[in-house]
Formats: sequence, C-alpha cells, structure tokens
Amino acid sequence: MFKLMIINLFIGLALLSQSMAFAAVAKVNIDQMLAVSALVIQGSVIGQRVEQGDGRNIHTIITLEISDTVKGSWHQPTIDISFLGGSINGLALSVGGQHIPELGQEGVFFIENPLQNQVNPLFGWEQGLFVVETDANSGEKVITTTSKQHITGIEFLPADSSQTRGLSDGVATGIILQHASELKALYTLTKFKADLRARLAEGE
Amino acid sequence: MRICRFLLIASLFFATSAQAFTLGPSKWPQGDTTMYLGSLSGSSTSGTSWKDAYTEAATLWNNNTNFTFNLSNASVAACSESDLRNYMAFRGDVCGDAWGDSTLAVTITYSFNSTPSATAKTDILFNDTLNWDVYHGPVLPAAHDFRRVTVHELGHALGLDHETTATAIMAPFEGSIEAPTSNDLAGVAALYGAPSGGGNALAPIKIELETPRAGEVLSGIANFQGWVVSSAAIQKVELFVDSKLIGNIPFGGVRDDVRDAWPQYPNAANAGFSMAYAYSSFTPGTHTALVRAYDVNGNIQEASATFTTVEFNNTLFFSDPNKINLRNATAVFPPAENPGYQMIIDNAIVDGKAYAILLVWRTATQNFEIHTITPK
Repeated sequence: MFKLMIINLFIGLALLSQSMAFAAVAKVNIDQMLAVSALVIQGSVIGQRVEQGDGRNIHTIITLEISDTVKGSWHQPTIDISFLGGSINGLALSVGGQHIPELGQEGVFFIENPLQNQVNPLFGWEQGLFVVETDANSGEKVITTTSKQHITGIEFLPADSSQTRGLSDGVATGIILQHASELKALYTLTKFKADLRARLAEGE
Repeated sequence: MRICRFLLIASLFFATSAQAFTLGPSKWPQGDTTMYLGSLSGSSTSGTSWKDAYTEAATLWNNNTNFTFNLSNASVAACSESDLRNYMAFRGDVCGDAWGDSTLAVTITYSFNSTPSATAKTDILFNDTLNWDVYHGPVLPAAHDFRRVTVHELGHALGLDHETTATAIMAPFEGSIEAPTSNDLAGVAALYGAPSGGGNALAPIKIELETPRAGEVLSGIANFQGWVVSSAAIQKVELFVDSKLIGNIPFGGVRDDVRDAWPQYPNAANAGFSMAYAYSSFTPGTHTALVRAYDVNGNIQEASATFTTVEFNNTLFFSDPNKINLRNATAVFPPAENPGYQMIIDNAIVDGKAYAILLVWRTATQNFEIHTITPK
C-alpha cells in the first residue's frame, strides 16, 4: 500500500539563508582589532580642528590626550588622528556613515596606523572605539559601544568563524552586549584593558 | 560660487509605527542628478559589467521614488571639488587618504553654506584593493557584492544616513537586504516627496500560489508551485495543507516573467518555487493549501488556495501502467457552447472499472490535467 507517496522534484537551487552583514565597512573581530591596530590607547578628545591643504580633501583632526597605552607606543602625551570630512571656508564634506568622536569623549581607541591619513583612522570605524563611562551604581569606569550599548565582556573567536564574516553592524565580533533583560555586571575599563593585555601576551 | 560659512545641520531621525529612517545633513535641491560612470570600466567575475550593476542599483531607487539618478558614460575629473559632477570609480585610495583594512566603499558629499542643506556633489568610491563581484543572495566571504553596496551608497547620495532601528538597505545591521525597503523609500519620500499615486513602497515579500489555484481539481501527482520575491534573501517557503505542515518547497527556479513584472526585487529572476506531490494522497474532497515565505529579516508572507482532489476507486497510486486501458475508450470533444480547452475520455478502464475522465487545459503547467473522475 502506498501511503503519502511523495516525490520531490527540485527546480533550481535552494538558496542558502545565511544572515550576513551589509555596510561599507567590514565586520571585524576583537582579535583582528588587536592584531591589526598599531596603537591601542585609552584617551580623551581634548581638541578638534578642520584642515584643508592645497586642494586636498577636508579632514577633521581630533587630538587625544593619552591616559594609558594598551598596545604600541607613542612618543608624546597627545596624538592627532584624522578623519575624512568636516567643514571649512564654507565648504562641507561628509562621508556616509562616518561619525567623528566628539570633544570631551573618553574611550579606548584602536588606531590602525597613526602614521598615515585614512578615511577613518579607527580599525573598523565605530567598531574601533569603545566609549568610557562612569557607572552610576558602582562608580566604576565601564565601556560601551559608540551607540551606548552596554558590554558585559569579550570573547576571542577564530578569525574564520562565520560570526566574523560580513560587514559592520557597528560592534565587533567577540563583543558581548548586555541584553535588556540581563543584570550581568558591566564590563569595567580595568577588566577590558587587562583582557586585551592578556591576549597580547598570549601571542608573544 | 560664493562660499559662505557652513551651518551644520544635525541628522534627523524619524520613526513611526510603520516606517523608520534617518536623514543625513543634506539633500539634492532638485529631484535628479547625473552620476558619471566613465571610470567604471570592466566587468565582474560573474560577467556582469560594473556599469550594468550600477544601473540596476540606480534603477531600484529610480523606479520607486521621486528622485532620478541619470547615468552618463562620460568621464569626469577625479577628486575635484571644483568639478561638481559626480564621480564614480574604483580607486586604490580615497583621493589621497588610505582606505584602511576594513573600508569597502565611501560616499563623499559636498555642500556649501549658500544653500547649507543642499547637496552640491556626491562622489562614490569603491575600494579597488578588495575582491568584488555581482551576485544575489547571502554575502560571500570571497567577494563583496558591488550591486548591493552601490544601492546602499546611492542611499547616502540621496541624503539617507544609517538606519539602526528598522529593516532597511541603509541599516548597518546584519542582513542580506539587496534593495530599498519601505523604510528607505519612506526616507526618500520625506526628502523628495512621495511618488505619484503613492503606495509604491515595496512589500518586503510578495508570494503567489499558482498551483493549485482556487477551485482547481487535481489528482495523481502534480505540483505545488508559484513564485516569491523579496527585498532580502528568502530563507524558506513552507507548505501547509489543511493546516498541517507538509515541508519546505524548493525555491530559486528561473522565472523571467516575474523578473519582468517585478524588476524592483533583486531575486525576481529566480523567484520560482515548485514541488511535485501526490495529490492522490489527500482524501478525495476539498482541501486548503497555504504557502508561507520567510526572509532572513523575519518578514513573513502567505498565499493560499482551496482545491479539490479526485481519484480512481480510492487508489492512491498506480505503479502498473497496464491497469490503465483506453482501447475501448472514446474521446468526446467539447460542443460549441462549452469551453474549447477541455475534453472527456469516456469509458476509460482503470483497474478493471470504467470511468469518464474530464481533462482541462491548465495554463500554469501547460498541460491537460484531470479535472473530474466519474464512475460509469
């Protein structure tokens, strides 16, 4: 007896349904960020100016006062980093998706190459900046994403992990975000820097 | 051009229960601009020229908004603020700046204080040090999809900023969106007005069930088939009969007719879904088929139809063709008052019993199919 005789004839290809990112900036992971960035520093934006030299693009240059260096070295207590975009002499140039750190902002900055002008000097753009805030409850300094999402920790994933492919959603792979329903302790700046240094030490 | 002090215009965020979008600092003062593609020579690995892919991306905006990207094959000066023609190119640098290891493309917009919120020029640059191709579906690790990146960058050129709260081609969230969504189009409508006639915003998914059609009579083995198009990649198409899940229907079949009808959707050329099934396994009588499509962004759309199954003497499947005997059968062609696309095979012997079988032409399958089985 034939019961539920089913014949599947496939027409064309069954497309994969992998969820991937899309933007003009690649998604990066925290290991990549550590490896690729020549300089990782804790600092505050203490100056901002706009320059346009000899018909070249307009740049906004921010001055960071360095309070701690996690990776690399810099010979001065401050560093200037340049972002494409800004306004000067009545001309404004903007880059889609580019958000320049504001005056007074404190953060941990992953600077790809401090010796060259890039569209955005932070590796992975917004992914390469962690904002430092003071937790109202504990009084401790904690880190958040640039969109003020709370972070509870980081994890180091293999570079070929499927989670590390795709394009930027503003947060690097390996950054563990706090969900609204969670009450996990926030990731302190001290712990973040210690974890980064430990990871760097593993690679030495 | 008179250059005055530039006034910063803060990005504006708009959200309603239905649509959300974020606007950038400036927009074009008129409803069109010309993009110069003279520097976009060559073709992708898959064979699509960069210009064709760019044109397809621009068409997705042109067909669904009040704004028009005119396209020119002329070449214009690179990285020039004095030449206000819009420059498109693959480049190894960003007009003197390095790309960095994570940047794929940038849209650079110029404006002047004489009209501070008016875009004067937009250049779109693609990172020439990366691998590019043109394809639909999930983003592949081996190459970036030039077309969807262009759709996104053109959104910046229109005056849209990243949208972080809703499904949008302008979202920096993960997703496989390839075309402007209703959120993106609402943003453009806020900048340039709604398209004439309104309601042109694309539904995230459109699905049509072609077999069975409502009221159709089926027997034996036939298809469940139709088409589905979407702004984002389709995840699966489920088939239910009488509310019971039968399984997932394979999709991706070539449908040139759907592509021509719905060019706004990136997957329209491969919109077909189809699965052969033993309709005779259903109890003779009336049933309801429902197909439900899911995209990778969580959007869902359904289509359904009620159909009737018929069968010979409660037999689900004849594996022996010798049980069918038409030697003494007669063909009855339709009289003038009946539709001409049907006929009856009278006195057909099936498994020892005589039947009159009504055959009807089915446009969707381009076949005659059994409509009614009447015991003699």
